[in-house]
Amino acid sequence: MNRSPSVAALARPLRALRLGLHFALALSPSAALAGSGDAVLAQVDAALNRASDTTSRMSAETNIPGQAPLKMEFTLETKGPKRMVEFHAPGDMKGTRVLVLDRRQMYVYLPAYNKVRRIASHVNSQGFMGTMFADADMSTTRFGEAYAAELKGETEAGWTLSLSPKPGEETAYARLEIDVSKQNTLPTTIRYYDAKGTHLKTEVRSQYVCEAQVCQPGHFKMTDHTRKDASTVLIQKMEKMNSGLNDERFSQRALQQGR
Amino acid sequence: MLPLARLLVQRRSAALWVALVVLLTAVAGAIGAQVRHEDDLLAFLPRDNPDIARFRDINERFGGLDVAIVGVELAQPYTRDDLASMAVLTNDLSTMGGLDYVLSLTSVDDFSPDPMGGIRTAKLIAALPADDAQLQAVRALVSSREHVVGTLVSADGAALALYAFPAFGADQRALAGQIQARAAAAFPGARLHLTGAPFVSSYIYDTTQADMRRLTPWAVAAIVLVLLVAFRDLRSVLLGLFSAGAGIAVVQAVMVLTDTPVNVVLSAMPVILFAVGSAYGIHMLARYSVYAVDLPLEAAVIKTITHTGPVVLTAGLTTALGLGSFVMMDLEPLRQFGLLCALGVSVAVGLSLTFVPAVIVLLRLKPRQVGAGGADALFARLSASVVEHRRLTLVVLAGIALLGAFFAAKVDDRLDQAAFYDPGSPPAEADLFMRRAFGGSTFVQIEITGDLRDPHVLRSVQQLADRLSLRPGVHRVQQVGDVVASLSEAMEGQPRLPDRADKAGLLFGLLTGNPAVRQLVSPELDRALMHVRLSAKDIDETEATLADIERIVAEEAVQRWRVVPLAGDRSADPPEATAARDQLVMDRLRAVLRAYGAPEAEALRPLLTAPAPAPTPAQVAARLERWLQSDESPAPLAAAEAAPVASALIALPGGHAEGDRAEAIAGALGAPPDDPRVTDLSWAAEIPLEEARRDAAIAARAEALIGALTSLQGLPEGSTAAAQRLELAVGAALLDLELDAVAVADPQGDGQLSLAVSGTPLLHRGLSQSTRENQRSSLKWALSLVAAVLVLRFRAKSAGLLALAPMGLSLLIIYGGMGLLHIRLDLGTAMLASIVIGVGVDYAVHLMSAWSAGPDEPLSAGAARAGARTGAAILINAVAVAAGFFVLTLGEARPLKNVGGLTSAAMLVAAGCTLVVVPALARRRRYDPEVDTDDPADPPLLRAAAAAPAPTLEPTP
Repeated sequence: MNRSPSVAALARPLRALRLGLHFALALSPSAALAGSGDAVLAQVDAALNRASDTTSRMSAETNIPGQAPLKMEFTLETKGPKRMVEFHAPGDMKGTRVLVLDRRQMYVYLPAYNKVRRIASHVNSQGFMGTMFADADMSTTRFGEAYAAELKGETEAGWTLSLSPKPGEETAYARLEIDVSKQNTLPTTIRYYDAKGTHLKTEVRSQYVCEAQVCQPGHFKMTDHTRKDASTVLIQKMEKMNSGLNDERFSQRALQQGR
Repeated sequence: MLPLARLLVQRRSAALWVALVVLLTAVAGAIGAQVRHEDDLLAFLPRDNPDIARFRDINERFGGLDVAIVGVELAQPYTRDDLASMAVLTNDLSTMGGLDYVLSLTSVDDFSPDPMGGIRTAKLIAALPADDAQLQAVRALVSSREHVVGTLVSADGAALALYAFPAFGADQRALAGQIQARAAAAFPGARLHLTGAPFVSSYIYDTTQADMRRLTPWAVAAIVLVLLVAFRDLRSVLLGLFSAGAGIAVVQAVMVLTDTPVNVVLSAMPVILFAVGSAYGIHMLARYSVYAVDLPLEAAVIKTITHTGPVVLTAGLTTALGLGSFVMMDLEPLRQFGLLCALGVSVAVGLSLTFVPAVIVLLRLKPRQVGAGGADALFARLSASVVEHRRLTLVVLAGIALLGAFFAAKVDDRLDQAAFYDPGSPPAEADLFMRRAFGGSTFVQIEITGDLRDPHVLRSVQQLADRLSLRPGVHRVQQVGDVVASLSEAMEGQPRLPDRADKAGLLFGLLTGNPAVRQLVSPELDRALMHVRLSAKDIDETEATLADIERIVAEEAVQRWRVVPLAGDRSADPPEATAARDQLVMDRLRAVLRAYGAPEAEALRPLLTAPAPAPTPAQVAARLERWLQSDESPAPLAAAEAAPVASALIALPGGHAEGDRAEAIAGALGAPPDDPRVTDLSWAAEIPLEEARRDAAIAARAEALIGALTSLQGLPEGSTAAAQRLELAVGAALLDLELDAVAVADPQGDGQLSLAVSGTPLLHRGLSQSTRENQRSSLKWALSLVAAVLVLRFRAKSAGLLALAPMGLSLLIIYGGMGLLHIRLDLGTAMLASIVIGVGVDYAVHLMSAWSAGPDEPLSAGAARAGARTGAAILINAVAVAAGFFVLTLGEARPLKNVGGLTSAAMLVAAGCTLVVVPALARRRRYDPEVDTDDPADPPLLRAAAAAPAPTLEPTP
């Protein structure tokens, strides 16, 4: 990075000062993470996955200009990278369950057919079930697995990270920009860009509720700027956390039998 | 008129009025300059016509009118570079903003069996081919997808198509421009064909606007030139143009104040107003110059206003009423056009009667000889000659009228896209390209209203689609059942419609939000749209195919039914139910075989009742083994374990219990019953086992059926992807022989759906009807109102009819010419009759108002005076108007060219008819009581005759 001479001259003492402050303010995450994008991102991933498991009731409403709102309700259980989704609404989808094992592999239980279908897919940015959330957005639990971060800016309230795909990683987006709150080291805004730098979507996470050092947003809003700002709002109501969900809960048997 | 004349000859009043007019015109001009433009061509669709109302309604609901299509014509089957360009364009458009969805060969989704079990979803072209071998693989994959070939890529691979669906409320014209620019950048060397409503409407709007911008000054210049050459008097021409210009300024100001935008029709208004409106002022000045020869200025002005004023007023009124008759049309833009033209003409007439005399008074204009000089004598002789040879003239006119009527009856009033753009124009070329590469560019749509979750509704719709797909003139049928069947294949392995409502509901649920599906089914699943692509190459074929489709929809489609259960036993099942089910399967098979290139196979029906071949255990086991080894199984087995487990499972009888499976699996694996693999597989294997049995059985039956049809040419053979797809499709069709219930047509039945045919052919049909009705309606009102004015003006019905007679003959000649030259009646030409009546009848008004034969003179003297006084003016006006309109034919916009060319011809014909028909039919000595027998404009001989009547006179009637 090019720096002006005056800034370069100050670099060495600043590094020393930073080292001292690092120990002095070790308890403050904001100070501890300053200067390193990957370090901040690691903390974000850690904060995102601080709960060993969660159970939430989600309601989603998608608004596309010119179309009737699209509503759905589902229960979301998470444990590490695994997710189990059970749909309650709309009526046609009731009882349908989706088991996500990773970013590329999921199983769907179709109650009308009483069967499980494995669906492997490429990572893509297509909307999930008509929402503005892509499959990739739904299944990404650790940004650091696929992206390298650069600290782009810092304010009193938070950091802004610029994420680029790691070499060899297939990602749905060419770049992400994440605003991270220093209060809980969790994302408040995620901006998605394509390879040309076009700002595709913006996701805002808000109304965080914290319990036992685990914070979860109560409100997600994804806006697709390429579709006349069509948006999906997800309301998350946390039901359980660290309840000791068994790995069996994320199995095909559980998927088919619902328990 | 006299009080007005006396007021205007006072210099102060004249100065005040001139100042006021100039000021108001300037203000109106300033306001009018802010007039906005609008390109909504949908506004030209009448709302009341049922065909058009349905078309609008359907397209608003499903968004079909929004799709922009980019066709790429290649010199050879697509290459790696072509795919890369398409990928760039697709991605570029997807993130451009304003588009909801972009569909192309590089964005279309696909699924395929995954080697690890289940399916793999990805783009059909998941990665761009890196070498020729990969390109060949991509081509083979693409050509095996029947829903892609003929839609996104041509069968020969030398044409690609991209479909862009604008987001709600997007500016389609702006989008069309952006898409065009990006497509040109992505495919710099290829020939692009842009079609779909956004491109076509943009083309029509842009060419019309460009033509009007480019041609209006030339049209005005042509009018001015003709007037200058004819009158050789700049001030007269300028005064006449000022009146017309003021009329245009006022009209545009009114448009701004009433928030009326300029559209493709209104953009032609300035030419019409300049052509028509400039004549009145010139006529007033010309008559002033005549009267001023013998009278002082004020007296000449007063006489001009009182004698010529009523004539000009009548002429202006008839023109305004003729154009104003468009208010009786059911098209808002044409109603606006009529009203605003009438307003503009009224302003021009009003200023001719007041402003022109005021300027004469204010500037003390000296009389100047205006007119065509020696031509007056020529017209006098012509008119007199017509009277003298009345019988012969009438016989000739009757012959022309009969001939005109004969050919006018042949005018084709059917509309198609040719009414909107020329052969060879970009949209026409795009149509040709789409027909050549993708089988057709014209779509008939059938809206289905019913519960789309109901399997019987889905099957009835599919049966209709299958039957339509076999009809001549139909290239392809797309309907929501195709998507549902495709998803069903992804979920349960068979590309067939679900047999239960909950399955259908679930599949639709999985399709929620899919933008491609929005074109086919409503979110509430109560309406669907079937798209029938026609291969018809002209309007005759299109209409024949449309009639065929409407007949099938009305007579053959099952729209009301009762559900009859089936037990699967032909001898026991109700015959009508068996017949209905067999027909369903037959129709499906025929459509499938046709899609794969086979001719219609009548030999199919016996094959349905032939004993079904049983699959071998190995065929069933192979299917089950694949599942047992896959990740879709909760406990994937190695190949060596899967084979004995599969064998053990298929040996179980139907209807066995989970415990039986557990026991069989445990035995085959040599594992205890509580082994996790045994317990997992025993509950999970039930459905896969059923499917393996079903799929193996149906594959064996499909193979046998296809084998029995080997005589059919064209079917794919061997182990190609296409042959496998055919077998799968035939098998899925045969599966319906196992339906446990079928819909049997019954007018009293509980099950129902309704069908409504729509699409561009019906839109054109509706537009044709609307055009006919609008023509009839506006013509009726124009004739009635103009006749009423003429009767009032000449105070006799016969005189009113006489004034209209030339226009009647003119219309017969013009419409006869259209019939002879195969020019179709369209929205533009439908306006012609009213324009001709409104503008052309002026000639008769002027001629008849100047008609004057002394009590002892023959009628030919009246004809000669009328001809001498007005003949040249009539011809000059006709030439000026014709020149103005003729300029419009030099543009690109088809509607303008039609209107311009025909109006131009019509004006000349109307002038000629007036100069012949009126003298031939006139039986009175004068029609205007105020007309002078002696007029300074008369040729000397007539003036002398007026002074000393000749002794040899014809008897007067």
